[in-house]
Amino acid sequence: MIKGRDKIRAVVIGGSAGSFPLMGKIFASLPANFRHPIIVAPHRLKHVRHGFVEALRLKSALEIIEPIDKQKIEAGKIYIAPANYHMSAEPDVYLSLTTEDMRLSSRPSIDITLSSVGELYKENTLGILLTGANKDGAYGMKVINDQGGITIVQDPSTCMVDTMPKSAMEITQIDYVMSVDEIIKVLLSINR
Amino acid sequence: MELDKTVPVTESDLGKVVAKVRRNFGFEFGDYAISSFKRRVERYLGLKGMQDVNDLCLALRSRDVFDEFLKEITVNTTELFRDPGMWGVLREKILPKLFNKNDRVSIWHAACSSGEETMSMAITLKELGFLDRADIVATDINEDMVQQAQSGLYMAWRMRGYEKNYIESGASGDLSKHYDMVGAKVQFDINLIKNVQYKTFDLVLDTQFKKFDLVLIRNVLIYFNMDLQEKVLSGINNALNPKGYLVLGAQESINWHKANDNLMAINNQFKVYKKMRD
Repeated sequence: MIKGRDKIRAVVIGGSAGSFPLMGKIFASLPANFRHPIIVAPHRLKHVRHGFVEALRLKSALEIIEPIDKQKIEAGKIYIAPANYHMSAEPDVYLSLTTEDMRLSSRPSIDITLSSVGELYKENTLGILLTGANKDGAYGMKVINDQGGITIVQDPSTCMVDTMPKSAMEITQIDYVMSVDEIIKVLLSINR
Repeated sequence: MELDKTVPVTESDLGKVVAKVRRNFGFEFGDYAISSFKRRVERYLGLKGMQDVNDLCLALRSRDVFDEFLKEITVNTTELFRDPGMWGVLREKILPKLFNKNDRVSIWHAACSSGEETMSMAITLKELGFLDRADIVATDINEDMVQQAQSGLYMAWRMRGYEKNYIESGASGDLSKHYDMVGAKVQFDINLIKNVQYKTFDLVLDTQFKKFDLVLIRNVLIYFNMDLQEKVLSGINNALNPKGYLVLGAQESINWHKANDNLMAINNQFKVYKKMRD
């Protein structure tokens, strides 16, 4: 499967609006005893606060949380960045939210979440970047790679829009290029 | 903000900046939430063309540089009628309750930034017929923001989003009645805020002696660590009249802060709390 899977302690996922059905598929495939936290930064519209998370909840055996500022990161839970906030992982293993400027036209920013999780969990990070229409996430994947974590992008040929994974592949050495089904297998394999 | 155009710093770099500022100016950045403070420092270094934190530490011998640094570290994102649902709750529930019970109602915008929330409040009060009975204080740590807030001038291109917020909040008036176009900007009716008392105020160092019936402090505590959040919240709590209301940002909470158990959540979605006792 993938090399170094035993060291993984946290999963972080980025993707734009087109990746929502894929995220739904991924979360629906994970068992209730999944043992790592999953931290998710989706590109989402400011005015659409609800609906997306409720839809994910219907399908997943895991608890799906839009965190409150300074919420603890716990194993086996899925944390989704709330609309109109950036979400970062902090040194004491909690999530903080901020309203800094949009980055690459987005708040939440995928780069901010990915890079902060990479800096917190270092080589124990698994970073996953799905389909998306801009280069947000590329910098975050680079940070994860620089910290010794494992990086996977969705195979551009299976993407609705491939700019996001391609941009990451341009600026850093991505470890694996995979279809969503293969990504799900990896996630199941790190749950042992 | 382009993360890749900033100058990366490490946690030990940040420690140097925190120590320098503490020693020279007695200001404590050690209580700020680390990841956003780090990004703001990285952004500042990029903005100023500085190579690394050593450049910054050298510059931070001057009070003027520190004042300017502090302004750049502070985040000033705001909108008119941000979180429209919260404005709906204020308009329909909280404000009528307060104004029906009291002759005068005191309101504190505890981090007013460029004034959008205070303006939203003034418009709401005006439309409810309460404005003349409101005593509003609007404060911010940043002098420039306090100045800007008093101008009532906003960028015209942002008005479409603001109109949308306004309508979504359930307001039935016409937002455009309150402003005129002036080139690329809009000028809001300055009479709306003529009785607002604007001043600089540091939530960490200054003590508010006046009491208020309603305090709004939205998306400010998120920049502090939990210890400082607790300290600032206690100060705010002391500045609230019994039966007064506190409004936080939509994703903020007093849940982690036991010292504030006299505050009862009356709206969980929009983080509206009521002070039950002193």
